[in-house]
Amino acid sequence: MPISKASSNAVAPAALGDLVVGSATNDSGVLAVGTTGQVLTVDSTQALGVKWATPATGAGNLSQITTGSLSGTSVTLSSLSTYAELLLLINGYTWGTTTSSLIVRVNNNSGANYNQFGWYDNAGANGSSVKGTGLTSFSNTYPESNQLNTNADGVMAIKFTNCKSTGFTDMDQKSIFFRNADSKYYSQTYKGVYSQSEAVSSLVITTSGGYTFSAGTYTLFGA
Amino acid sequence: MAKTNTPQVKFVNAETGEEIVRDATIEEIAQMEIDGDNTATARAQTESKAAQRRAILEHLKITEEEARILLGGN
Repeated sequence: MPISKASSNAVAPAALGDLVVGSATNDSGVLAVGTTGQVLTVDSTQALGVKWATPATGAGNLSQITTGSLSGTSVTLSSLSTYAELLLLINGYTWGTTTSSLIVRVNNNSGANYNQFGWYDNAGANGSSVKGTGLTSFSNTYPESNQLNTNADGVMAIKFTNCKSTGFTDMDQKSIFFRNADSKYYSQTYKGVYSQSEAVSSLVITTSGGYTFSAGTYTLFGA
Repeated sequence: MAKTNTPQVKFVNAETGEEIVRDATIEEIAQMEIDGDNTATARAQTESKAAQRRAILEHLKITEEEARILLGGN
């Protein structure tokens, strides 16, 4: 039965989306509709005990920012300053028949500002932990620094956190998988840091030596 | 595919979706060459260490797997 002043002691909604909410025993009030995207949130400081609020973004709330094909010798993804977290996925990349490395840089910074530690397994032959400091990029093949992936099935995923901070940007996780020219499978995973006190405004995907991508896609998620 | 004579670089504005493709600048090409040199140096260092490792194993007359067991690794 519709609620109205005529049928109860409740107040009546005045607009689309308004809610009638209990305010005390045998009494009620109207909670005016919120704005698009807001959710109903319990808040004991409110007169009606609830309010409309914009959900917080953060881990687990990544949404796709952009996606496309790798082409030329580099792809720069810009206008990223509003994101606190970024997840970059690079799939099926290759630059053909030249030995090189896939590298990712923050803000096109080529200084010795990239540190990482982690674990790598080269075709199950010599898995080992490794660390590198003062690197000039986040590379897909550290410490071997070379890859001849004509199979075009390489995968590289890098998650960055603390991107808006004026402190360091954390390279929360970098996972890499590819087949080298010997068609053996290589996997690596790292954590690290971009050691500059600046927000992340762009990410640059390129190869070491300036080789032209002949296949591959990128997808960038952010929150 | 090998290096092109006129490298192209692509820029994607994640906010607007605008894409620009243009020739690389002299500075960008110079950076590519520096990166290539760094990679070659790193690869040479890695290969040198691998050669040293093989030489030590030969000297000790043990395999890499036996060395790993000896050192307590996996």
